[in-house]
Amino acid sequence: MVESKLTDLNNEQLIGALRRVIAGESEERSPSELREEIVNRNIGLVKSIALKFRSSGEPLDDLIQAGYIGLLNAVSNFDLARNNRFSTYASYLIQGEIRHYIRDKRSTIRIPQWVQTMNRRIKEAEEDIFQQEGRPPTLSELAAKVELREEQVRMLLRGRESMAYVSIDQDRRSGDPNPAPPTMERLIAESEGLSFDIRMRILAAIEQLTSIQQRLIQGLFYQGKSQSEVGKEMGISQRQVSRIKEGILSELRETYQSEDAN
Amino acid sequence: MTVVKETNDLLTLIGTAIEQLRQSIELFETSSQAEGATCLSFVIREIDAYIDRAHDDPLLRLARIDVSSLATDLEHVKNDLVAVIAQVDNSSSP
Repeated sequence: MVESKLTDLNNEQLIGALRRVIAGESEERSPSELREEIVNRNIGLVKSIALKFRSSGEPLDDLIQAGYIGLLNAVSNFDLARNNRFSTYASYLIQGEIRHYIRDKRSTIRIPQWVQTMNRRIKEAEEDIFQQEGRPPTLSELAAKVELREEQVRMLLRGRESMAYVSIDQDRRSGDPNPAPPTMERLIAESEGLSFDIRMRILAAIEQLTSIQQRLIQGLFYQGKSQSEVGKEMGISQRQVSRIKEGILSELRETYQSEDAN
Repeated sequence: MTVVKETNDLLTLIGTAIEQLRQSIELFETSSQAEGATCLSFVIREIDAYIDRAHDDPLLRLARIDVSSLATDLEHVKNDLVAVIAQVDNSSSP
């Protein structure tokens, strides 16, 4: 192959030439020269795809850089034997790389803490009911168990399905550029009324407080130390430790009585 | 009108907060959104007041609870409640 003919080669022929050079079957060109020619030829393709993602808010130059990675991957992985067009395959990988870049920059999908908390409660309730009844719970049983209305539980279960989809999609990170899945925020925003959201957030706050309380009780009563030892460590008398514990128990009783009354 | 009291220890704070949060749920569900938000504000102020004095809480030393990690947890609770209040404000503004 002579230099004057390089510009006459199409993408597929250039890649064929590159493969031959890499395999040691040809020394007409260096691999880097051939790669550069392919990249230069496809700059327009990378830019046109990057432009489609301008609304992501990421700088165009960064999107183009990500697109180049996709292009180089396409050069490395394109299968000449399939007789497909290189530009079709490259578009696919360029688009995928740009999508992955945007997702990584946005640190994937943020699922609100309170939604995670409520989903955990639902899962625990499902398991409890299954253990007791030997069958999956009905929607009304589940709603009663987690103290929500049926439509609220239905909403959360729907959200959970979409989260499973997110997880599967993330596992396939190295593969194809699928469209980004819907965010939980959008699902909730589209389908929720005020009172549901508020109730759920407050319940999540209560649950978090309760877990802090459990941590406290755990530390106080399950460390296996005597009141004298604890008092010594704290610089107070055993009697003072005892009084503090009595106070705690009294507080606990009041708290639980108050919760029961509600 | 609920008055913020000097919360001496974590258990008192949690007991009071849970009671107030439950009340707020009832108020929101009976459409008394402003009163519900007042309950939440009360809890937020209680948490703030407690965080200021957490270093003096003997229970934390007794249970070996790290004050800064506890403060972070309580900040999360507070942020959630602030978000709820903001949502109520947004929904009630014309």
